[in-house]
Amino acid sequence: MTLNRVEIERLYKKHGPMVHRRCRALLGDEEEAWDAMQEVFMRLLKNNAAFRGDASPTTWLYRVSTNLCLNRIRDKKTRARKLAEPDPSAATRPGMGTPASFDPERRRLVLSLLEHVDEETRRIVVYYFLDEMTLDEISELMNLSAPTLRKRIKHFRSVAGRLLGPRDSAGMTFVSVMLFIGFLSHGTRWGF
Amino acid sequence: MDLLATHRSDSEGAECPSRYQLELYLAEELPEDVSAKVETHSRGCSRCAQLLNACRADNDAFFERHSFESFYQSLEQLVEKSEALETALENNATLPATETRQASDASRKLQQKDNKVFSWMKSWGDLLSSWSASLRSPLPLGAVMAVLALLTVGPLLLEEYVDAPDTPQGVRLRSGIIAPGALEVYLLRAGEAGPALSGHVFLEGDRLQFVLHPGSYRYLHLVSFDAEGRLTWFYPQDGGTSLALPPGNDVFLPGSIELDDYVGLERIEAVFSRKPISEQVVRDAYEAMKAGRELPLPLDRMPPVAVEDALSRTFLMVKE
Repeated sequence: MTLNRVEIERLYKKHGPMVHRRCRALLGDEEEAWDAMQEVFMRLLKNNAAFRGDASPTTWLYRVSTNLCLNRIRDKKTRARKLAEPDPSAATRPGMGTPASFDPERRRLVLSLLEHVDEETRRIVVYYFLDEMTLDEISELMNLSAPTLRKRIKHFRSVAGRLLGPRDSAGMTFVSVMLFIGFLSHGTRWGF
Repeated sequence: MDLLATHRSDSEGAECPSRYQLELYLAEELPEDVSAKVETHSRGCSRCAQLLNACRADNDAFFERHSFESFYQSLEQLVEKSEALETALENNATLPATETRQASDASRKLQQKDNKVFSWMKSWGDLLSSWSASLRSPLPLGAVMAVLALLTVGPLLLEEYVDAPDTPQGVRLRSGIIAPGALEVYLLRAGEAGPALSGHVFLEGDRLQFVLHPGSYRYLHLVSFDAEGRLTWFYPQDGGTSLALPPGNDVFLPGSIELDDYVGLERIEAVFSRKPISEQVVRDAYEAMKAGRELPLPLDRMPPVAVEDALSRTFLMVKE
């Protein structure tokens, strides 16, 4: 390892809970989040220069955690159910199903749609719809312009509409309302 | 329900900070003036106040559950494994065998049937050795073995590979020998196990196990893709570079895959290779195969994914 134990302990105490919380919010599983957190720290050890070069350690960790978790979600069989039964005590653990985690329905919906868009758009979608970041924040995090972000979000919404819409008339109504409210909510930001 | 709408604003109409900004606030990494604004806002916004309190409680609970000692030990092991993997891949070595599961009785019976051919050949070999020794035959044993091999294997070399409809998908020759690069699939449904057949109907909840006969192809990617063009990685589970297979010709991949509620054609593809290949190479080959085709993909009429220096085997499922 490139850092000594004292330094690792300092970083763990300062950033460990945040990284774990983020991984758990995205992966939806305590154990997976623990594994993912360790991988994030392993990347930190391997890319120490990049970590220190970033304006904010939290920003670097947030970005790496997001990328790693999205890769995990992409690569495991996302459409198959997990073989193990979910831990019944998971809902009572701190942070699970509390305001610190994402709204379960929103998370489920967004993650189910991610596989239909490219990897960069997935990250944008997570930051925008789950983290509720502003376009400026996402722009800074991903080094993409606001017009590019708007275009990708618009594309995601059209994909969502296509996938969710045609199933039934209730679905069409739901998607229409969703898109309309989303448009209204972001209308001022987009200058409409 | 506007699940994809933004969060609600607070009572004064000011917009709430994002979770990201709240985390920056908790980490004390915001500029002073921005931090002050977040603090002022959270005092007047029950949603943000609740979120901040939940994060603080989560921080405290985290250290109760995960001591630094346990974290550091796990991290050290992870780093060691990662370094071992990099070294092994550089040396093109085979990693230690992963945990395997016991095959079902049905799969054992099938292997016993296949092994009979090998046993037959071995018996002839033993007989030849004893005959040669007892008669002190002047003929070089090697020459005799060569003739025997030619008589046995020769016809096999001329045979085409057959996917017999009533046997598991794989590269199975008419003689019953399974050639290298074969993939066998077994179905677990309602407590019953048996060989799964390509092109047959599969249901939500069915579980599949895989048995490989890699021969000299020591590396594997096992993926599935459906008629909508969605690609899923089964092995290695986190993608990346090929899974290194343990030595031997009956390799049971650990665990099983449970099928979801997707309806339509779905195809499993095993990409065997003699050297590790990256996930991106397989993805590129898949994209090339898919290029120019309209959805839904005619998976039953499309060739296997073509990857240079690799062998691809397919298994088709009709999902209902």
